[in-house]
Amino acid sequence: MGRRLSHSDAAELLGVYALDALDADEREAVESHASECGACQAEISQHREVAAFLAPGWTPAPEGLWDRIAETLEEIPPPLAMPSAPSAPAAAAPAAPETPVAPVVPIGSLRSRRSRPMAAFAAMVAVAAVSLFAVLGLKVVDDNRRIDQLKEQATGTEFERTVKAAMADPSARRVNLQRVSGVVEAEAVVLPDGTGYVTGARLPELPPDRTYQLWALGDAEPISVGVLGPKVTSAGFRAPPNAAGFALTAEKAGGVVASANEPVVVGKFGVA
Amino acid sequence: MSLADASDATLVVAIGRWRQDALAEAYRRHAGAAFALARRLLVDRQLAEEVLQEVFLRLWNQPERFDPERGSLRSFLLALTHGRSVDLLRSETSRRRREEREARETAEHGTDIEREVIDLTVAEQVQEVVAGLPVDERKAIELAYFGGHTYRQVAVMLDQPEGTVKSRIRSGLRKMRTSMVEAGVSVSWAEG
Repeated sequence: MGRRLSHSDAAELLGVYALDALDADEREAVESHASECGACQAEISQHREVAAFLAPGWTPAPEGLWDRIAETLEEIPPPLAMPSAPSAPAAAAPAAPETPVAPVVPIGSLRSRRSRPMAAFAAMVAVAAVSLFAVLGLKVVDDNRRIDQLKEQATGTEFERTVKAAMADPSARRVNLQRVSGVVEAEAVVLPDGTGYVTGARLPELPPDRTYQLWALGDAEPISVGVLGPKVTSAGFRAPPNAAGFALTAEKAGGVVASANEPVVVGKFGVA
Repeated sequence: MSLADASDATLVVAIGRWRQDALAEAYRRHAGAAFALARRLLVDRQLAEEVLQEVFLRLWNQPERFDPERGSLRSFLLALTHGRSVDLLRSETSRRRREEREARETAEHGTDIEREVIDLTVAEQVQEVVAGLPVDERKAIELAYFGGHTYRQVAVMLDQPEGTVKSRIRSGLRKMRTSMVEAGVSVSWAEG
């Protein structure tokens, strides 16, 4: 452990800290203090915002660098797969329903373009031939922690605006999700770029140890596209290109790899 | 809504969900600024590219580190870029390269950090803000930010007490912020 700074000592160093003008030991001491001091965190951010204006404008990024970055991304194992998150299953937290963005399995996302695991997945789906909610062999990446760690930048008005805009977008595909009785309790919409949103305020709230899980329906097996928590308001997800419809199931908190449950609501594009 | 229309905050949420296209959009928006800063500090193009790659990989792996309530995505990425560049700058290899460059520059036209900073700032208003700082504060900020020097090194270079230098840097940054807000320069976290 490094030395501890008083607030006033730390405050005097905030400017030079923000400009990376400290030696390592002092930097550590400031970081240690700032991690528990909101005022210092705020001042560091302010200094950095100012410093950003000093930066020398714009130089075209090197050609080919993005491709190198993109290739590297696919080689990086998702950090969420590591069992290093003692911080509790977020899906069980009562606050989870407030989250407007669903923890989404990256199936169908652009990272699949060159990803071998995704290709393997596609092949697996192709050979599977069982009924709608039979046991799946899909690998569900639990990215709850990653999502939960994010501040909800798109909360409130911005996210609601986004969802409303998507729902009203004439180029979007919409589908009502309904019960067997025909009662519509949720709606999903998919934009041409594959971004999807689901709203389901009429769905009953589940107990805290349960969650709604959203599945994309295709030619083969349902694909998990989001674990939505025990109460669905609205959430975003990434739809697989071949999604023909969606279904919501009720599962244990955290979601399941494969569902054996009947869908709570279901709907297919083009079916009234 | 396409990603091209999405706010930076929305992009980072999407990055948090492993959307590579969101990272690509963030790269499209901010890589040029980050690369310019890295090159300004490191000069060496290859090192600057390495820094840029590292910065965007960090955004990919740790998007939660960005807090939109505390600043813009650009300032966040530039801070990462600056920090990493300074680390490299202080390493032996790049120090040697830098010393060679500085020796060459001095031989050719002399060093004029003040002028360089003023020439390079992005907007007239920002230039005015920088120019409006007391000379001692401006010099200290320039040497720390663009030179990658610690404040102790800056104190030696300016022949001033260390405590004075760190106070001047803090004071200068605060004055710049106040002046920018007064001048209407958009400071994303500004009150309001």
